[in-house]
Amino acid sequence: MISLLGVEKTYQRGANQVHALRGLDLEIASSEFTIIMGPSGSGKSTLLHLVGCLDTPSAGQILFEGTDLVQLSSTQRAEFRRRRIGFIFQRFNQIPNLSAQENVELPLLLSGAPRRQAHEQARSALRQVGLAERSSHRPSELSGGELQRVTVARALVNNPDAILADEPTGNLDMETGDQVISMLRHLKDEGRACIVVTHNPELAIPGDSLVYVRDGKRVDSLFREEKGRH
Amino acid sequence: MIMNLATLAWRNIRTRRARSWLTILGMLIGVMAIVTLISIGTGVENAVLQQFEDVGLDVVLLVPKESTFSPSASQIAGEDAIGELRQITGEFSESPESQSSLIGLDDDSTGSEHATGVDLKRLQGDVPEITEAGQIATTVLDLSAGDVSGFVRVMIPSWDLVDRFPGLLGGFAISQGRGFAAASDRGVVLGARAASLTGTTVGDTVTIDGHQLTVIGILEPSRESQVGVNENMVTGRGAEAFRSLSNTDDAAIILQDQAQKLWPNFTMSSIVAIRIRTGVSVTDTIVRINDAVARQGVFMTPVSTQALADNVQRTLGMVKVVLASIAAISLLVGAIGMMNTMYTSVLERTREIGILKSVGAKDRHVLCLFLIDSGLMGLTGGVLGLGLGMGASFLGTRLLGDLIGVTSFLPFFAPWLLLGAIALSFVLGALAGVWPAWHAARLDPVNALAAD
Repeated sequence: MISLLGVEKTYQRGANQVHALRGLDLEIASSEFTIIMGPSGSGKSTLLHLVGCLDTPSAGQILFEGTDLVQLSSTQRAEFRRRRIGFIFQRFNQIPNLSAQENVELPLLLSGAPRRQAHEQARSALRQVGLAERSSHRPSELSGGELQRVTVARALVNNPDAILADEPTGNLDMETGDQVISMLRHLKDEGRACIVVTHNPELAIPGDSLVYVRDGKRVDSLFREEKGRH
Repeated sequence: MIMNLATLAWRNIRTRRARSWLTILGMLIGVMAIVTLISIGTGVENAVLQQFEDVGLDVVLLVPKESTFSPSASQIAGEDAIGELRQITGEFSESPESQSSLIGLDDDSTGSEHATGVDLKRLQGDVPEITEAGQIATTVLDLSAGDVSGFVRVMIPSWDLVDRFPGLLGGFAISQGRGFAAASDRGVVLGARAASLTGTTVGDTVTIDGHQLTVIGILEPSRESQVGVNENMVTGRGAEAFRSLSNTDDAAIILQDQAQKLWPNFTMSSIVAIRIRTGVSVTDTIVRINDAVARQGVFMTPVSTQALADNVQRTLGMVKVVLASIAAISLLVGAIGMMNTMYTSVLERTREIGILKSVGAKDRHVLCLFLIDSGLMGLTGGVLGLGLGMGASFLGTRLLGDLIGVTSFLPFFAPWLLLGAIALSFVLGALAGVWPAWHAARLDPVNALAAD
């Protein structure tokens, strides 16, 4: 269970303060596929970064399976990201000089795993996303869909509790995007929480938890009802 | 974990080949310069000091105070005068007077009248620390052998000097025939080059200043001709005497007893070699020798080989420090170049740093990654620089030997130099990466991920 209680996030931009989140409350159950939607600048990516321990809130509390993320030190947050979170980004975020295999190995090598073990696990993760035969290819040699599958493999390789995806289909065509979303739904079925930030309402299907954010606040969760009215 | 980070760092170096090699090049040149200059410098130092050790560091030379032993005496007597022996015509290119005056050992030499008067027995009695002593005089006389004629440097040592101080005569190693066996021995021993240029062999007769002498032996090339105390390294009367005596290649050597019979009225400037007892203070003994010589009314001054060796060592040490400092500057420039590259790399790889942090890299992981990255580049430059530096040292000793004053010696690679060069290159490389790595480690992951 992930709980956000009165979470606020304020950025200092020169002399101005930007309030990205303003007292947001949210609960996400394990094994739930949560879609966070909202207009640009509404604070949805910030929300994802806070849950993923990439950033810290200005106020409020974030509990991840009982662990108060706000209390974690910088080192503990890094440890938390490595062991419990898998990130998927719109820009794929692969290191260009490394092969697909080497990119997927990264979290394992940073965990101190022996190289051979890291190699085997990364290969297995790539096999899981259907890219075993492309493992030696660099990001520049892979298509958008393949890159995103490598990202999914990297997110999976440490067997995390939650997958956080920020616009995972934003740079993909519809068909490839559907494949990626389908992959994520499969991960949810394995018992992981999946939180997907997107602009695309088409991604949601009945049974998903929908969170709508506007101006840093959770507005409602009536997407399904609105969808039903149409 | 470190190995994993090293793996990641190596992957980065490997994939950015052009930039990595250019960065490595800076370090490589610096290390190469240090290794080359220090190993050559140490090689020269060792070779020269070995020469002093061969003579004996317990030896004191008494040299005429007004001696005009020229630093180039051996060159003049050797390369020019003997060179004239090539002339089959028998004609002199220069007059005997001009040759003598150049060497400064003719009868009119200012110090000659004082230099000959040392009573060695009295000196040994006055200074009991003296265990043995020998004497040698040098002059230039005309020589003819068959159709060849010209001038030769004649060295006239006492039997004691030949017997007890062979190192002073460049080792006095015989290559053909025999050496002197006793004080009364007759005949002449020729230096290797003198024999070669006159075309004489053992048993031949040469005429020196009108006297016919049989060649009883020919010397090996003296050590001095291989590794000489160059005039650029050390100056002073003792050093000049040392240089003049230890090169026997162009000389004709006749024992003192025979020379006195051949030239009873000939007065030559002489040098006295003294060995002092082990364990006594060289400095104190020199003072006592100086006093004793003064009491005899002889105008000579004592110079210890130890002092000469110290002088050479000091001079070469200074040269080494200067050269190493220049090399260190190039190493520093290489390190600054590396820092520049690493900082640029951090800026270029900001998003990569964000990615690493998003998959769980701690600040210290990023710090270590960049430190290892720059350290590995430094180490690679160091290892390659060491190898190339060793090669350049061997090449340098061959090509630059004449330029720096020695013609044949080996560079010396001290273990501290080899290990130090590698360690220094890694540490300097890592240090060059400290600031960029610290900057990288402190990057905010969200901002880093947003970088272009």
